Amino acid sequence: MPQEITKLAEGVEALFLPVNSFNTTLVSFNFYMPLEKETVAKYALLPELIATCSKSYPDYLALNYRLTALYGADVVATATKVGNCMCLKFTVSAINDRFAFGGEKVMEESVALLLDLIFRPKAENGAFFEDDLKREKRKLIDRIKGELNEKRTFARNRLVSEMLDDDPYGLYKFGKAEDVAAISGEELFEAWKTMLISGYLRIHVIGEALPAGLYDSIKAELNAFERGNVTDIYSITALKERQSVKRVTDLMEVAQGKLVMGFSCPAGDDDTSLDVMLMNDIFGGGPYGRLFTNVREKMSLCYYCSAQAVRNKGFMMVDSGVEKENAKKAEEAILGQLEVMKNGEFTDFEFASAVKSIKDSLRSYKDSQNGLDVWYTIKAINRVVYSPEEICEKIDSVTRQDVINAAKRVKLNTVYALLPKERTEE
Amino acid sequence: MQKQVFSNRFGDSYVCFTHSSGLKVLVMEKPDFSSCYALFGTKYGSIDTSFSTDGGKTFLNVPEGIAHFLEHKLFESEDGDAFSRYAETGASANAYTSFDRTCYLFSCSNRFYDNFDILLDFVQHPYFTEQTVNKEQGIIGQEIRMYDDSPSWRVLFNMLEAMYYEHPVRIDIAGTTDSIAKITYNLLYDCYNTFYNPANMFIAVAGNVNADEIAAIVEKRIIEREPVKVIRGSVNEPDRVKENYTEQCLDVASPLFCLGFKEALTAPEKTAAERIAMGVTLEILAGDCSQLYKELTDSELINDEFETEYFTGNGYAAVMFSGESEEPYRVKEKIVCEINRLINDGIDKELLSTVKKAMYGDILRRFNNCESIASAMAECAMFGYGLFDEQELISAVGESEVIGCLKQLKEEKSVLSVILPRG
Repeated sequence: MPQEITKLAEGVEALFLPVNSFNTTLVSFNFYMPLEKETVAKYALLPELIATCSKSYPDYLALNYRLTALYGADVVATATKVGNCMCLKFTVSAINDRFAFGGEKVMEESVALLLDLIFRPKAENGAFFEDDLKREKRKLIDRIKGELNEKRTFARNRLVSEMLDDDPYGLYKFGKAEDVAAISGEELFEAWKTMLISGYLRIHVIGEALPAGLYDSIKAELNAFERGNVTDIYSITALKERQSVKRVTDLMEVAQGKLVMGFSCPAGDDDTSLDVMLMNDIFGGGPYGRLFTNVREKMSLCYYCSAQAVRNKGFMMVDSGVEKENAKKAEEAILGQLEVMKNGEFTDFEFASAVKSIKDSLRSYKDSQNGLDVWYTIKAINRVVYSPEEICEKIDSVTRQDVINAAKRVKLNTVYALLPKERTEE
Repeated sequence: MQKQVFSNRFGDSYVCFTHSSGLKVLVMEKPDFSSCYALFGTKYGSIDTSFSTDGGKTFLNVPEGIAHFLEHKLFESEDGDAFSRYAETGASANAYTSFDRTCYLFSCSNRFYDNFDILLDFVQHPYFTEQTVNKEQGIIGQEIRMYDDSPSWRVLFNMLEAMYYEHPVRIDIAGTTDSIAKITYNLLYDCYNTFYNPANMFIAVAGNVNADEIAAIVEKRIIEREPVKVIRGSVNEPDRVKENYTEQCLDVASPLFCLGFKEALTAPEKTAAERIAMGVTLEILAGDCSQLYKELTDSELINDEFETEYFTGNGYAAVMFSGESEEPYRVKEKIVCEINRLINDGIDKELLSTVKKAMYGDILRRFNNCESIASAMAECAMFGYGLFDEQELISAVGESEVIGCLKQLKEEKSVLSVILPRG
């Protein structure tokens, strides 16, 4: 797939991926801001507010109505952690014009609407309005508190915050509820300006054609801001090794426990750490992985058990659901499988299966607009950005010995357990 | 095999084959895609716990959760499991059991026909033994316990338990630790031989494939079986609900709710037209352009978790509103009040046509993705309508259909299920 990158301004790049297989076109604006304790809550709240009203659509119901009339155009705004950045993503996806009944320019109008939301928010005298702020704060605080509801995600987030306690990546992506509550309309307006002045901005267009005049409109909008001091997206810190393993346990009234183990591993990008990607997959990727076939299937120690590597931050985690009485045995079994990796005792079949599975899913990326959007959002922080097809070719050069060497550098760092407490009632 | 081709005005088309065994095969070729998605399903789900194969003389009652259990076990054969065969090809495989169906699926970007062979082979060759059944009871028991901690799962099933007296839709898809303990390998074979008959099954494929090649493989690989005439045990389900309110305490931050309205059924299943009409109705009543949505949001009664669903299948139909709220009772009051207001005042015609436009857009979006195309085709095979019919059905929805749907939502037939924080 051809990738066309156009530089629009200082720290502003646009990537157009021409793909004919979709009935819709997706356009996303990705602002990379430094991930910091002082600003994380503001940058989590900002997309929520921006995506619900603007000067032209001061009322969220009017905005929703407009989107519905544009054949259900989808505007989504999110904040996620990428490397040492917080990525504020604003996406619109709408049907291609040829599908409209009355020849409407659906795509052009949808993109104009997104630009309107991002560049002309509903604000007055350098501040957002109190009622909008109050509404969006409440919803965000609900979401922060609601993380407790799904224990699997909750446990994974707890591990990350405990393991990376002196790294910005350990910050919870929505910030703390009390920090969200304290944000003023002025402060948030300043955060909006900072995003447009110094955010590294990457625009993705994925679909049949580049909406007419899009790049010129973006340049014109950005002209109103004196851009400078652009976020350095390439500066990434890796998890530091610990002298002794950190252990954290929470007790809750739950039926089943969760065990999440965090490891340090070699940090790198697609030029330096594809060995880690492959090692992680053989260890705990698909149903052919060591963790699934042994810890779940043979030993029946947990209902789910899989590994995930965040290579640019230099860590891996194994996430599992365990019965209380099996927690210790499961931990030992997981570490046992890591030893198998280090000793090179995994089979050629497992090695080949992981390669085939990774390549199969890499080749499928092109069939998902959201998949491609997320891929390039994460890969943007690498100095050289490869397409999924290019990684598919590069993975062939990773050898068995590379995988063993990568495994030898994996070290247990933090263990988080959420276990059932004895019930006092009933 | 009998072959029919269906097209729409945008040049999308799909092929429907009917095999001599009765098996339906639906294929949409998408040559612009790199990947493919295939699904092999049977009209057999968690609600099929009582059935007869001798014309209704005798009925076999099987333990709750057996369809899901069977799904787990079907991956195994005498010489290994299907996952290890897929590992050879690199495909990503899975399966799921819902209330009314069990589906086995894979997606891949390479070696499609090898993967398709694996799929047809393992689904048609069961291998159940006493030993493998015993082993699975432990792991499924863990799965059931995992769902015990999921508030969104519990709030739904508590609602269904309060809504239905008899219908098996009230029981968790995976069953209970007690019910799965009663499963034996003989019972698994009974269920398999009844419901995994090609006449009761369907195949849906979308992606970079050739429909005629798929037809040829199906012709070669499908094992003809004597058609089985299945009569599902009838359920004497009253129109009224069992309880109007149910609650449970879990470790949650704020209360979760699920408000269901039980609908009376005049036929075992709702038609495609009825389902589309209810979809439009729910958008008008509580979609994000509705007055109700604004009122609930502005009075801080709902947040981003709020959603609506039309939940329907063989012998059951319910409309559900779910989300998080400090005051679920007030959410219910406002919903009931808005239903009555719309019935009395009529609906906004402009909103109706706008909502229909968005639904048309949603259908187009579905064709972006092999998985959603195949799943939609599976739906067509299950309920006997065409993939492109929906668009016509949407344009046929008018004010009287919407009012008709609203009139089915009666307060006395509603259930409010709430999950409360502990303490």
